[in-house]
Amino acid sequence: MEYEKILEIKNLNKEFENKNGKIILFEDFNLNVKKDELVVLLGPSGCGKSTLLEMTAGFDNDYSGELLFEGEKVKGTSGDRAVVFQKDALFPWLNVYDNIAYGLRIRRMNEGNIKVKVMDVLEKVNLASYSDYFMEELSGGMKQRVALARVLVLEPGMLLMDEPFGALDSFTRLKIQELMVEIRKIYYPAIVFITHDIDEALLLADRIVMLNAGEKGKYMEIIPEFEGKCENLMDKSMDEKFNDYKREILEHYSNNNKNMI
Amino acid sequence: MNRRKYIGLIVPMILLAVWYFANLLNLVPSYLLPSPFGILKIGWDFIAGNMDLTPYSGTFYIHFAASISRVLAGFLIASISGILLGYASGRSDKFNGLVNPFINGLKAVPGIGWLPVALVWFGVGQKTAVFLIALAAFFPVYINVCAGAAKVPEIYIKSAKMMGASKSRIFYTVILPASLDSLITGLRLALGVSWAYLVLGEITGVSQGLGAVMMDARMLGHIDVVVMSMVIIAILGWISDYILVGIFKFLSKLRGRHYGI
Repeated sequence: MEYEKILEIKNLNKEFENKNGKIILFEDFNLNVKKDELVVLLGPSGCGKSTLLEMTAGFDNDYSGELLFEGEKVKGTSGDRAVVFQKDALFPWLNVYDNIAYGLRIRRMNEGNIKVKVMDVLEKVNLASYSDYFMEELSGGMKQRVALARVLVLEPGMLLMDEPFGALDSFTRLKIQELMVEIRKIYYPAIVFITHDIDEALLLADRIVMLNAGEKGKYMEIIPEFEGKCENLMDKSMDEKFNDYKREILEHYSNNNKNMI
Repeated sequence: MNRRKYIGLIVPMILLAVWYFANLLNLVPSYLLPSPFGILKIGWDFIAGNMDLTPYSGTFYIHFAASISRVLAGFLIASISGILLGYASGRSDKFNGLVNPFINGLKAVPGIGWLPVALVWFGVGQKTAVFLIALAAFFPVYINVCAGAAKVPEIYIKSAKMMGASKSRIFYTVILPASLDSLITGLRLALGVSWAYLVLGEITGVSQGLGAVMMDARMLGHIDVVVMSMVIIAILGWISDYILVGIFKFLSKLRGRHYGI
């Protein structure tokens, strides 16, 4: 049975020029993402992960091929394809509450409803008591939780996450990854998650799509299935199959990115 | 008053002490540099007019009103034009290419270089003073606003777009607050320049204004009144800067924003 697709990328081609000549980022690239699915785009720097996200978000429209969101061609940005950036995307002149309320105010929601929604999402990301804090008063992990709350409150159909935890230390990263798992039990957007961290990809993904910086067209997909019960991320990382998948990914990377350092 | 503000008083107090002792020990003749207490007395007489020490006794308010109206008019013209052109130039490469070379060329002509042509165009009086102030104060506003607007991180604009903000909303909710510190720096510099160019505009033969008092007193040999006028202009410059920053701080507090002023 064909699953319900929210994002369809068909025969996508994308290239750009730099001083070394023409660089092909995508050549007849195809990808479908179904509703509720968390797809991790994994790959080394320069493989086009962030460019793909920019195109899906509607920031970059310079490509050929088809990019469909809920069956409609992607044209420009939309709060329904919300982006969580790596860092520094929150407005430092606004406090936590106003950062999260920003998108709702654009939708002309009344302040009473905004308050209910903002406080609710702050509760979900465990920041209810920080609503009047400014960004410089928050840690890196807290800022990313605010960034997550800012898009979750818009109830988007799809979340596009561009290495959102890449700037965090490993302890904070684990905590926020666990929060992500919990959040997915409450909100159900499809998620395209970009990372170059193999462990993170294996811990969070329903499906991993491995992109190459070297040979184009040779994409690999993995649907991680673990042996044990895996009630939390710690269990997953200790699972026997975890290292098998990791080896498979590294071998694929090694075989298809020979000219990369 | 906090400790840092006390530190700011040290240099003026030292200069005042050096001035006082230089005068007391006759190191500088009093017809060249009158004593600080003499200046204080003349200043009080200039404001209150109860001692008839000089021909300017009790005329402070007339001259102050004339000067402040010129400063405000010139500063306002410079601020409005500098802000409008600065933002347009900072956010549009095409507009920048169109006007920036011309403005940079104009900037190279010192303010005093405009005096002869201003006298021909506007004659002696209010208009010349306002023209000189507006022209000189325009550049710091334009340059700072243009640089601040150009430096607004693209990620803020992307975030706002992604949440559905229109171009006008992005301007007043993102570009404006993100560049506010540059705007304030430009306005503060412009205000200082306005007071400096007030004197230039008023020494050309107008009958009222603090600059006119300086010029008139010099010709009458009242060096004490000249120095007193300088001190008053310095104090007014300091007060106006304090008020300008205070207005922004008040507005920022009123709106619950954190602009780092």
